[in-house]
Amino acid sequence: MVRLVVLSLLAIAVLMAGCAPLPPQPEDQTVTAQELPEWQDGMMGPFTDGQHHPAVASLFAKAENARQQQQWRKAMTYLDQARQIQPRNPAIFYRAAWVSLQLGDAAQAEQLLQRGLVFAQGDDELTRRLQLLLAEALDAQGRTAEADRLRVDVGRR
Amino acid sequence: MEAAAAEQLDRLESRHTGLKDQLETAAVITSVDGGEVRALLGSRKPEFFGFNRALAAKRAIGSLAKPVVYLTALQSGRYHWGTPLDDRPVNVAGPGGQLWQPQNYDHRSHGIIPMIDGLVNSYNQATARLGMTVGLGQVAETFSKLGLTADVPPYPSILLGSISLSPFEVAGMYQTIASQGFVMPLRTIEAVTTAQGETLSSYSLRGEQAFDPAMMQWLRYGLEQVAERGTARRLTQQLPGPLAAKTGTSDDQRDAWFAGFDNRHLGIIWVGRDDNQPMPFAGSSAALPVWLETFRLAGSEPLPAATALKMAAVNDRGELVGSGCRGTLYPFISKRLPADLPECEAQPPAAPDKEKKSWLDWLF
Repeated sequence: MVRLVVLSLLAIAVLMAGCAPLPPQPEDQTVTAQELPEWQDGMMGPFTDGQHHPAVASLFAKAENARQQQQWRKAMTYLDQARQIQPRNPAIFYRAAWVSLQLGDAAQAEQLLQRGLVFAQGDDELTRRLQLLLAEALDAQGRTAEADRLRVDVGRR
Repeated sequence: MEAAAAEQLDRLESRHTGLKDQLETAAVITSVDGGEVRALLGSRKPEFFGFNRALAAKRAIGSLAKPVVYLTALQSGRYHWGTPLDDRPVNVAGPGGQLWQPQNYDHRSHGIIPMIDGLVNSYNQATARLGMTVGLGQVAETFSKLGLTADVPPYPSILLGSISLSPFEVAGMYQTIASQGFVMPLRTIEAVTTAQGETLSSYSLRGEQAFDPAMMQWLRYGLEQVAERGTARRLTQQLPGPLAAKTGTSDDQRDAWFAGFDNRHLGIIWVGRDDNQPMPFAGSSAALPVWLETFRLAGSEPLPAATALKMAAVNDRGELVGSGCRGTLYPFISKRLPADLPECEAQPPAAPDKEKKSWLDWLF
């Protein structure tokens, strides 16, 4: 009987250890369209939207703060730091691309979105969201025909 | 990496008399995502100050040029990994117009082979034929599209790597493949900031997309097969795969090269002699062990699945066939696969399988 109790306690302890809230590894985080701020008619929701790795979430909060004061370079600095932590997170590329557009650097926004798209492969909704912003970046460079074609493609899916 | 290089070179030299302290090495390790240089080795003696072979020693790249030829073929839209290639003797013209007949490493020709085998086994004859069919101009263009700024003269000998490049230049080209199509300048500086810590110019943002990521995954499949069952198979025998790699050996074994990447890092290794004399080693025996040891010590991470590819069956003539048909499976870019695949060809009716009878049937 004693043995049974000890064994059960051990089993429970092992199970609890498994449930202990360990912070996820930055690389293991899955990113979906939920992690992108809402975007409509050129207006973007708060950078803090979505679920993120704690280190990235804290940098997003700082970037959001800078953004509210229209300190675009400062916002970009925080997003760069976030990219150092998660170099393949499309949600960071998305925010950085939007800030690039505010800085008037549409070519950079385009490159960032294209890199984000590589890591969004296999997630249709995430891809669609990145492409919609990419169309803006193309428009801003005067490539309206390309942008329109992309929007039609996105709409068809 | 210094330790790995020193150990491997000592080991190689100990196997051959008269080689003591003759071998030199150079290496570049970069991060796949940002193109940051993580390690640069300019000599087997790290304390040696002066000539940095990783940046300044330009040597013939040998078979490290082959992926460029196969990428050109894949991009043309006329080839896939199952396309039959001809691996028979072929005459190739050099810069002076002289003709030479490239030999395969095993001094044999292998007849008709699927294209993947040309890269996996690094067959010179099949690759030279392929390169001349897709066009030397196109191959030269692919070199520059991969980010190579050095001049690539459109001579057939470039197909087998007669151009001389530094390990750093080679790393720049392979970086584009490893990063799924982005040409990015390799750099050691992350960003330039103001005194307040604001980023003025972030280098990791620079990266022009030169190739469709799906195309790079398609090429990567070939390089993964090199590490799986080809000239670099020692890699996956000792480290968890998939890994992507290519071995290279220049004429008369003057230069041994190795290029390989995992999910995080790209490594380019060169081993040779400063006097450019032949060595008794090939890329797979001299440069590969340095890469292997470095990645073993630093920790390697397998490449992720190629999400843009889908396997489809191909018949002996290299034509796509329906999923239930007889054929060999090769990867294709999913979005380019035709929706309706042709019907199966009539197969000679297979002999009906005799129903297997177990000893129980015999018993009753």
